[in-house]
Amino acid sequence: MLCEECKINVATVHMTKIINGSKDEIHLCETCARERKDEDFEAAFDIPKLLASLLDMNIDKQQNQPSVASPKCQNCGMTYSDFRRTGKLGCGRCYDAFRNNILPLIKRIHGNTRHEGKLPKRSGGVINRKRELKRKRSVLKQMIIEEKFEKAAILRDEIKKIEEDINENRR
Amino acid sequence: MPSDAYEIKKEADIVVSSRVRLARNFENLSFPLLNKNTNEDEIIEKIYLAIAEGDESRKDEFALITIANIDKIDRLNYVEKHLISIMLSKNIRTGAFVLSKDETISIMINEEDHVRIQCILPDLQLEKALEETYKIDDLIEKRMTYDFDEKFGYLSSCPTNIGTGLRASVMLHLPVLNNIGYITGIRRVAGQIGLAVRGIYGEGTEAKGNLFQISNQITLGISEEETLKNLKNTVVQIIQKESTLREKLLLEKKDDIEDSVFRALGILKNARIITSNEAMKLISNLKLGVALNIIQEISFKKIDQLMAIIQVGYLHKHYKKDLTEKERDIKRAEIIREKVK
Repeated sequence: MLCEECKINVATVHMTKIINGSKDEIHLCETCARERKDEDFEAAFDIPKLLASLLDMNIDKQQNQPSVASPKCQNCGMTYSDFRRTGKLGCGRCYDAFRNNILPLIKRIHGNTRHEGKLPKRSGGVINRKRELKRKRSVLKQMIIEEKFEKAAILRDEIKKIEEDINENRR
Repeated sequence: MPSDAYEIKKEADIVVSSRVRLARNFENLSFPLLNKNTNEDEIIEKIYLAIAEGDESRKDEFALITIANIDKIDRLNYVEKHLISIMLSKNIRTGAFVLSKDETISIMINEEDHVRIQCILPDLQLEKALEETYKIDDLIEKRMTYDFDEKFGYLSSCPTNIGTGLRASVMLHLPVLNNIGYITGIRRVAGQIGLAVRGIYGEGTEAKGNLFQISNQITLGISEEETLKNLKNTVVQIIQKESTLREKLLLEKKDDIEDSVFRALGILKNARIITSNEAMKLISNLKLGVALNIIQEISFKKIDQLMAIIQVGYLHKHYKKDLTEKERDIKRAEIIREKVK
């Protein structure tokens, strides 16, 4: 059976509507069905919505009261509720803006929360610097506890330098 | 015949193609779906030049095609050849792609992500396909900075793609497994280890001509090499299952198999009107017939070609016009008769 809309593709989405006893059948291909802004079709195969519903499960447990202002990405202007509606983020900074909110979702999708594999050559350098930073910070903490203030001061300056480097690289 | 050569032949009978794609986005730009970037043309040009000028030896290998500059028929044709996605074909405002001459590599620009680097190769060649996408990945990265997060890896529009941004898939011809209803079982088991089994045109579509696509779902926390290894291991098991069943079928129901293969050949040689669904089903029978050595006159290559040229987009392109449904079914039968003499 061919799609009733485009009459090109094979109809793979079949829907029967019964309103007041009168039966109405629609047969569409996936593309046309997707185009049709019919709620029922959208719900049937929309992955973003599925993601969004996964998120909802999580949210409802945490906050039952009407939500306070939805977190917003300062870079692209997307709000967290936009993401819940569409399942797509607006820019890379959204991952920072909504980090705590989407972390459970990411864990549910991938079962992991830390990247393994290829690193970009360009920002890979920054990542190494960040790792160094993390290591030095924990050493600094230890030094302060041990009251080795002179050494700590040197280390603090080193840390500052690395932080500046990273920030410069970000621009 | 040495035993490993036989293995390779078995694989080639069942595996149609291997596909690998990497999703990438650039720093300081919002994702394409947001439609907020104003310098799209510049970005497209920059990506194209990064590829075309990046490797002197491959200078003439790539062409830039913008969606706006090709017509409806061409768009559908590229979708059918799996060189672009339906989504990209609809992005007339900013969609574009860079295509290699042999049509094995395609770099989609402004799909859901800024860049999707794809490589399709015949047979089971996942590692080689990954290697090819890496080459393009590195060329682009020489001139532009990817958006990358230490924890989440390569960032993408949809959280299902973050991490490696890698989607690898293998297309398999599984007529026997499908006929005995085994696919549901495979789908369930695959799901448990993070793999998906789908019909030929990806998400949500029915399997046409017993062609199935097995792909990875998890992209975060698992390296590219591990991803390919998992996929390959599963695919090899499915191949073994299919070929064992084929042998069994040949032993127990030789007449039935031969009957369906020769019937398919008969209809394809003689039909005057044929729908794509019927044609795909019959060509699938034919493919099985060739694999089982029941018929020798047609090559696998010809059969895979046949499956591609009976699609709507190809027919429209070939006859250079929009055809009605009936005209199409007539032309399809004509083209098939020509190929299967």
